[in-house]
Amino acid sequence: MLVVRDIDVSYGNIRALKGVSLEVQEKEIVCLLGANGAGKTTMMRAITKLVPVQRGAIEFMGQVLNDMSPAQIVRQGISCVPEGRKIFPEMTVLENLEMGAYPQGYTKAEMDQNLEKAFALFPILKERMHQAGGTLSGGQQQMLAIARALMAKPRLLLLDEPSLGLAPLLVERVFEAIQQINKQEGITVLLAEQNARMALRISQKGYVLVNGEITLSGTATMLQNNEEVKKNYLGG
Amino acid sequence: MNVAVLVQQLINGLAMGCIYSLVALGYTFIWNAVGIVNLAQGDFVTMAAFLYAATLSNKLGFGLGLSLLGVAAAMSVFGMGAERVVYSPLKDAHPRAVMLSTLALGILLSNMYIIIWGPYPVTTQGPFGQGVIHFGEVSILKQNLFVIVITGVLLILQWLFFRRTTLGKTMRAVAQDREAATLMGIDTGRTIAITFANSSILAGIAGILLAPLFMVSVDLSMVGQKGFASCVIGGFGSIIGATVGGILLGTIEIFVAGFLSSRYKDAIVFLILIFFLLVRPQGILGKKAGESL
Ligand SMILES: Nc1ncnc2c1ncn2[C@@H]1O[C@H](COP(=O)(O)OP(=O)(O)O)[C@@H](O)[C@H]1O
Ligand SMILES: [Mg+2]
Repeated sequence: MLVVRDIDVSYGNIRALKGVSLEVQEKEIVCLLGANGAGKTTMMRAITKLVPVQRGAIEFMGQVLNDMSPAQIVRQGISCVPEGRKIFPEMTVLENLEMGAYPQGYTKAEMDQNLEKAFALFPILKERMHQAGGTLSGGQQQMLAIARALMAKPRLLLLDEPSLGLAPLLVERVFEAIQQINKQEGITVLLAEQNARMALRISQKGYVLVNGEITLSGTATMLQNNEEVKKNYLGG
Repeated sequence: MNVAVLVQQLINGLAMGCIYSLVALGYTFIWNAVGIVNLAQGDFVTMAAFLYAATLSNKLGFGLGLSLLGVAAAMSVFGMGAERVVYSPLKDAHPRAVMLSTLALGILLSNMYIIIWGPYPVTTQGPFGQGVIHFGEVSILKQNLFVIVITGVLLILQWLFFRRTTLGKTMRAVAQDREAATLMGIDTGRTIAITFANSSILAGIAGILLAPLFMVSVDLSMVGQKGFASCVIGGFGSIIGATVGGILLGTIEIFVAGFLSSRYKDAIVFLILIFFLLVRPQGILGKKAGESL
């Protein structure tokens, strides 16, 4: 479904991604593991066209994305939950969700229907509907960011460190929701995480990114049993 | 001092304050969207005042409604053009560079008026001329009442626009987090251009409201500085702050002129500005104090 072929991304002199390739099949959850600064966010930004790709190609459902704008990427069916959630802080929960639906241009009835789906997934958002996004707790903001991305009805959902800064119980809750989205809605997921333990638990496949290069990839089970991964990412 | 005079002064101050608020809102929307102070905002007001007074009203004999439409249309096109020329090419540069380019635009404009409309001040009657309305002992310029009513209507329209329309909401989204807005598929470049258009329309309406009250000349651009001071007083970036700051400033100014001396009016305004910058840079209602200035 998503094919990243040998891409390079640089910020000035800093080469953040060096010839990275990866592949995500339809209906899979694939995780991209790596320490801070490995290049996970850069990968997400390359797919969503927030940074230009210097070399290589990104294809989605057989279409080359290289020359598309961020707006065209969303309309192709790729939504992103960015690192740090990036909720619109002074817009209400409802307005945040409406912004997520922007590329779809729903009618009132379609909007209501999609809002109901979002509220069914995260009931707390319905309670907080008219509250400003910035007043929510970290966990609630993460849920809002995911719900907002889903409003665009994506086929592929990119999640950049959804566990960042959340208490363990909330991480569980968020990962459950990701699994639910994948299973019930059939939405494919590419998940960037430092929290390898949690990520591998829900993924079928994984890639390990070190200093802008993929050093290891394979099925989740294989990675969970790999000595390298155990030592560096699963705490021994 | 009697009550009638006090009420009269209060209403005059309120009217002036309304105009400052409109100018201040123009600064605020651009500031919130792109983090720069448009130093040509006062010249936008003057340009619209000239366009209205000299061309639309005096020369073509347009009525108020048609003039409002004409100025709004011209200012929205002009605002989007200004964004393309002054902001867009420099959007990745330091905010100071962009502000310098708005300053240059202001200088260019103030010379353009002279080329287009000549070096002499222009006067226009406006819809009410010098008409006065009496409430008992209180007599008020009709134009001043008109300013207050129009500003009130405009504030409500702006509020509805930003809360109820998709375009208005996307403008807020872009101002709050441009990258997230991009991820939502919002065309941020176009949205920012529309924000400039909106600020320019507000400046344009301020120009129409001012023209019958003052002589229209390059000096009118002073309202740009008053609008800026209103933002500082209310809290830069705060919409309510800009409105309150403008009304407060207009009122203080009229009272200073009425009870102290009109000669010191502007000096006192800038003393207040300096006071706020030194003592309370976040203004009455502001949160972030001009961090990228
Ligand atoms: N905007 C930027 N400008 C310059 N360097 C950057 C920028 N963003 C990221 N980098 C660098 O690129 C590398 C990869 O960063 P990033 O993709 O954010 O990693 P991760 O998300 O895995 O923590 C790091 O060395 C980081 O310092
Ligand atoms: Mg990151």
